[in-house]
Amino acid sequence: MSNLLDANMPVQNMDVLIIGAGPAGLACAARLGERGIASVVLDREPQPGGLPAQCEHAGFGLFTYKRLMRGREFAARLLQRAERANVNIHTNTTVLEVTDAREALAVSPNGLQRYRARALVLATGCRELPRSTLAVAGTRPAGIFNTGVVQRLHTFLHSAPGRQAVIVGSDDMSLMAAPSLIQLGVRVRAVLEERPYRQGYLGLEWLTLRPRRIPLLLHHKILEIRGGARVQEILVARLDANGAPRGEPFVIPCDTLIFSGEFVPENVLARQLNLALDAHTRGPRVDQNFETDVRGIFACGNLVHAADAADHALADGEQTARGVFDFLQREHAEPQSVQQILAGDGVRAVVPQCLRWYDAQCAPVHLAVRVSHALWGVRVRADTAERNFGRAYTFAAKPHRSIYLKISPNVSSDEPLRVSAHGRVTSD
Amino acid sequence: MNEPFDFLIIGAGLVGCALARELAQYELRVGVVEQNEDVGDGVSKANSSILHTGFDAKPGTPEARLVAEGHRLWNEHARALGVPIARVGAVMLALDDEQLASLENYFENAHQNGVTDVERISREQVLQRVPLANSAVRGGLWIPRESITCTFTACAALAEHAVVNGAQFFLGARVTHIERTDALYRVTTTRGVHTTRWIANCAGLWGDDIARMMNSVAFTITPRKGEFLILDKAARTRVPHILLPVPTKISKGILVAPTLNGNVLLGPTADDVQDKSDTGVTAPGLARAYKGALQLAPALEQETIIATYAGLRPAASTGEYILQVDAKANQIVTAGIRSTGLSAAPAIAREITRQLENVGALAPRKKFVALRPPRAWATGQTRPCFDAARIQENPAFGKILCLCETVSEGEIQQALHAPLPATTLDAVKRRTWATAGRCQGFYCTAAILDCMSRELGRPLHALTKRGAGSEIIGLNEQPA
Repeated sequence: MSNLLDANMPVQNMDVLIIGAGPAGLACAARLGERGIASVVLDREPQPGGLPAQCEHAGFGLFTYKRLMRGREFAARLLQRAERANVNIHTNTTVLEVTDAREALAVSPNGLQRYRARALVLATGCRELPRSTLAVAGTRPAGIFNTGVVQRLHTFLHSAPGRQAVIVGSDDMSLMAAPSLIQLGVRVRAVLEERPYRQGYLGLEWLTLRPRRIPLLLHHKILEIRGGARVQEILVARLDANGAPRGEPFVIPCDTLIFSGEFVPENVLARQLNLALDAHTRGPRVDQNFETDVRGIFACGNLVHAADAADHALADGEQTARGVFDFLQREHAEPQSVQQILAGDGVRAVVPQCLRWYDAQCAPVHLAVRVSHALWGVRVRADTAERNFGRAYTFAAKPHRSIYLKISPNVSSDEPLRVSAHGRVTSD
Repeated sequence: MNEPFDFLIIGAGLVGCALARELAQYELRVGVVEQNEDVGDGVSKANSSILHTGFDAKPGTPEARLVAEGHRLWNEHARALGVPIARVGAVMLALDDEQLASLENYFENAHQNGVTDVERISREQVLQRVPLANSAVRGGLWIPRESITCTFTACAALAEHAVVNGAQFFLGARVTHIERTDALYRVTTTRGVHTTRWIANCAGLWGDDIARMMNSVAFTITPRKGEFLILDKAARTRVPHILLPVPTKISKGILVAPTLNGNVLLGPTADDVQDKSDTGVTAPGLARAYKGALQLAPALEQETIIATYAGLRPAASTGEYILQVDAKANQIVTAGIRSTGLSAAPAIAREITRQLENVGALAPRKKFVALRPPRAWATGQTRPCFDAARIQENPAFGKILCLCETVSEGEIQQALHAPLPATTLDAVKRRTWATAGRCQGFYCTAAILDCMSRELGRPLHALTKRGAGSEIIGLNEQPA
C-alpha cells in the first residue's frame, strides 16, 4: 500500500495503538491499562486531552463525573486516570500513514517511527467546517474563524479574535462561545442560524445569550461578507419557508465572524484505510464494540458521530476497550451472526451500524440516533419485523446531536434492526 | 536620499519578479516596489496554475509567441528555481457535434503555433484517459505538454532569485506619485521615495493608473473576475489530466484541473467588474463555475469543496498584451498580461531585456548566483517530515503544524527567514501551503501565529493576514 512502510525502518510492535488522545482515545487506553493491557496513544497536539483540553468554558463531565466542570479540568481528570493506568502517550506526534496491516508511520521532533499493533483504534475526532466549504459569498478578509480556532487563541495564546463578533451557528458550542468572548472583551453582536430552530439547548440560550441581550436570529443567512483587509460588516437576510431570502436584507457591522458548530469527522486516516464509511455521519461504520469492517481496526468517539458531547466520546472509548480486549483474546474468531441496524422513519443515522455476535452472550447496547428533523415529544424505538428491542421517550431531538437509545438484544439474529423516531416536527 | 536605481520595477507580480530576476543578471541596481506586503499578492495569486503550451492562442500574436517561449523557459529553469512542474497533459472535450467540428480548428491552430504534438482522440480514448469525463463526450483533443505548476511558488522563486542577486524589494510601498527630473525619475511611495534611471510598469490591475503617472501610452485595464472552487484531495486520483471545454468566443471556459498539492480546481468564470479590489466570491459565480465543471465531469458532484476564491485578470483595452520599451523616456510598460501570464512571464522578461540590449541600456553581465536548494517539497514532492535525516538535523521538521498539507514547523521557519521573508499569514500559506488544506486553518492557525510571533519577534496582535489593517487577533490590545 505504501512505499514508506515497505522501507527497512525498524518497527515497534505492540498490542494496541490508539490514534488521538482526546476523551475517546484516552478512555480506551485507560480502561485497557486497568485491565492490564498496554497501549500507546499518539496525538499530534503538544498537549493530550483533545478538544476539551482547549476549552476554558464549563459544560463537561455531567454524565461521567456527575458534576459540571471546565473542559480543561475534564481533560486533566481523564489524563490522570490514564497516567495511573500507565498509558504511554506520545504528543507532538503526527500519523502520516496507516495500513490495514495495522501499521502506522508517525513523525515527531524525535524522528520517524513505525508501529505495528495487534489492534488499531482510530479516535481522531472531528472539526468544524470552514467558511469556504459552507460556500458563503463575499470577500476573504482577516477576522473569519471557527470556534475551535477562537478557543485555541483564548486558551493557548490568551488572545481575543477581535472587537465585535457575530457567531454563525447555534450549537451548544456556539452558544458557549458567547460568554467566553465577552469575558475577553469582545462584543457579540448576534448569533445567526440558518435553520428555523436553535441547534443547542434552550437552557443554554437562557444562560448565555438572554442575560446579555444578544439576539439569536433564527432562519437568517449571510448573503455576503464585506471588508477589504479585515471583516467590516455582513449582509444578512431572513429566510422564507423555502429557504429563500425574504424581505429587505440588512447589515450587521462586525470585525469578527465565527463559523461554529457544523461538524465533520476527521476521517483522513479512515479513508486512507478504505474503511466503509457511513453516508450520513461520514465516519467509519462500526459494530457495538466500535470495530470497523476491517477486523482489528476500531473507530470511536466523534470520528463516528460528530459531534456529541465529550462524555459520550469517553463512554465510546470505554466500550471500545471492551471490544479490543475481546479481540485480543480471540483474534481470529469469526462472528456467528451480523445484524444490520438501519435508519428507519424519521431517522437519518444510527451508530453502531451493525451488531456482531461472537457468542450467545449479549450485553445492552447504546445506540446513538440522529433524527431527520427537529422533533418535540420524541418516541424512538428499535424493532425487527417480529419484535421490539427497546424504546425511549425524549422531550426534544435535533438532527445534529444524537439521542441515545438503550437496547437489549438477547439473541443472535441476522434480521435487520430498524430504528425509528416519531414526534411533532417543530420550528424550535 | 539613496543612490538612484538603474531600474525600478513597479509591481511584484509574476511579470515584475521575472523582470527583476532577468535584470539582476547584469551589473545594475534593480529595485522593486510593491503595494502589498508580499510578492504575487495581486493578479498572480489567483490563477489556475496551468503552464500553457499556447496551443490555443491566436497565431501570430505576441501572446502566442511569448506563451510558447515561456513554457520552454519554465521547463529549463524550474529545477534550479525549485518550481514544481507536472506534465499532466490536457484533454479538450467536445460535447456535441458543433464542438466536435470546431476541434479541427484548434488542431490547426495548435500546429500554426508550433504545438505539433496535439492529437485528435476518439470518444473511447477520452473516456479511457479520463473515466469520469461526461459520458456524452463525442471526441477530444489531447495536448500532452499542458502542465501544472504552483503559481505561488513560481512567483516567490523568481523574486528570491532576484534578491540573492542583489535586487531590492520594497513591500507595502504603494506608488503615489511619479515625476521626472533631468535624467532621473522620482517615485514617491507610501514607504519612502526612490530615484531611478529607468522605470518599469508591471502594475497589473493598476497598470493604467501607473501609466498615467508615468505619462506613457494610454490604455485602460478592466478587471475580469474569475471564480474558482477547490475540491478535497480525495478527488485528485479521479482527475489525472486537465479537462478543457471547447472555448467560446468570450472565454477559454470553465475547466477542471489537478493541482500540484493534490487537490482539484474548478473554474474560472469570466465577468468584467468595476472595482479593482473586488476579489470576493459570489453565489451566482460559484454556482456557474461549479455547473460548468460538472458539465465536463458530472461525477465530481460527489466530492467535497474545501475552498473558494476569486482572482482578477487585468484585461487591457487593446485586447492583447502590451509590451513597450521606450528608450527616449526610459520607460518599460507591460500590461494586459492576462491569465496566460504565469506561462509567459519569463519570456516577457526576456523579451524586454532583448529590447533593452538593443537600445544599449544594459550593463555587462555579472556572475549570476544560483538559488540555494529551495523548498524540498516543491521539487521532490516529498516534505521534510518524511526524511529521517532532515529531522535529525532539525527536529522542527518533525513537528507538523499543518496536518492537512503536512507542513512542519521547520518549513514555516524557513519561509520566515527566506531571502525574501514571508511576514504575513497569507505569505506563509503561499510559501508552504500551510492552512491551504481541507480544514482551512482549523487546527493550525493558532500554532502558526505562535511560531510567527516567536520567529519574527513581533507581538501576536501585530501579525496580519496580508498587511496593515488585516490584523488577525487581539484587536483590543493596542501596542503600548
